[in-house]
Amino acid sequence: MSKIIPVNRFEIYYNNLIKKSDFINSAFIDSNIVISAYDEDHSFNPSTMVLLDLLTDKDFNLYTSVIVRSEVLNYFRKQYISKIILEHDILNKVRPVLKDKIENYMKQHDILSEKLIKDLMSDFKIKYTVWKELCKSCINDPINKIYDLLISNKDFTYKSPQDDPDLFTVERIPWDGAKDIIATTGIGSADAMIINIFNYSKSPFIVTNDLDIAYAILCAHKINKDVLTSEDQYKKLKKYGFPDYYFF
Amino acid sequence: MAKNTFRETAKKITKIREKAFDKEKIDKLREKLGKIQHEYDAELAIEEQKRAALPAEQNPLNECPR
Repeated sequence: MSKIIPVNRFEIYYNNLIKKSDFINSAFIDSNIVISAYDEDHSFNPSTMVLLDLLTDKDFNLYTSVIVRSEVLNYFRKQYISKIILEHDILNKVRPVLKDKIENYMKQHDILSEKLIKDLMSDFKIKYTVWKELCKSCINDPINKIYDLLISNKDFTYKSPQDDPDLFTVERIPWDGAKDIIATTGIGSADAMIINIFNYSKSPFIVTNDLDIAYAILCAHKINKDVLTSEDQYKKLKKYGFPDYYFF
Repeated sequence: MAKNTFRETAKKITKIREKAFDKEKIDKLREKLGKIQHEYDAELAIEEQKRAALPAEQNPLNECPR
């Protein structure tokens, strides 16, 4: 049975963990942890740093999937597009109904949704060459630089069973596992793929601040691995109505 | 041994963003985009005029679905 571990109880959990014969000093990292670690302005940045400091102090090898790397790039892409939209008076060139939608959305969010970005791109009043120029000037260079950073630095390693068989229980990830997770928990495909890879990893726990991931792991009965999260997210999860035995 | 270098990477990423959205660069780009958009608006206006000048039965906007 999976358990949710709050960061302040990790020491006790860890002391139990190292007594196990199959213990490996590797932690599987979810995309929101990489994103909030790398975005200094992210609301989860302080709690993520607490989690990562704790794990690095104990010499954990922090690894994740290449899917996470693409999610990190996608996050910064959306962040830059959102910034462009606000910095370039683009909103004055789109249909008033779309302008209202975006302005209302940005009152509560820092980053545009994928749907609104698509609406913007297809808005007939923005010439495609304007969009291309925006991408060339404000997205192309930073995305390439971030990609190079993700490839070259050693903060997290992006692994598959082919890269490092010792970190996984199978030689190839069976992708129908992701389908089963979608079917049993209703979670989106990107999250389901990450949970599926985690499920076939040897790491006993995933580090995440994403409630959807934690929720799905508790709901997916075939998963018998734990979730390490911040104290705040732990408290929120407790309100979801899961029985107490799920909480470490 | 894992080294805690996340903060350094995060700082580098913040710098990348600041550079991409440097005020001077943004102002220049805004001017350039304004020109492109202005030309496009003019093109649209000409097309609109041409459409308006067409006899009603040739105007694609007046086509009725069958």
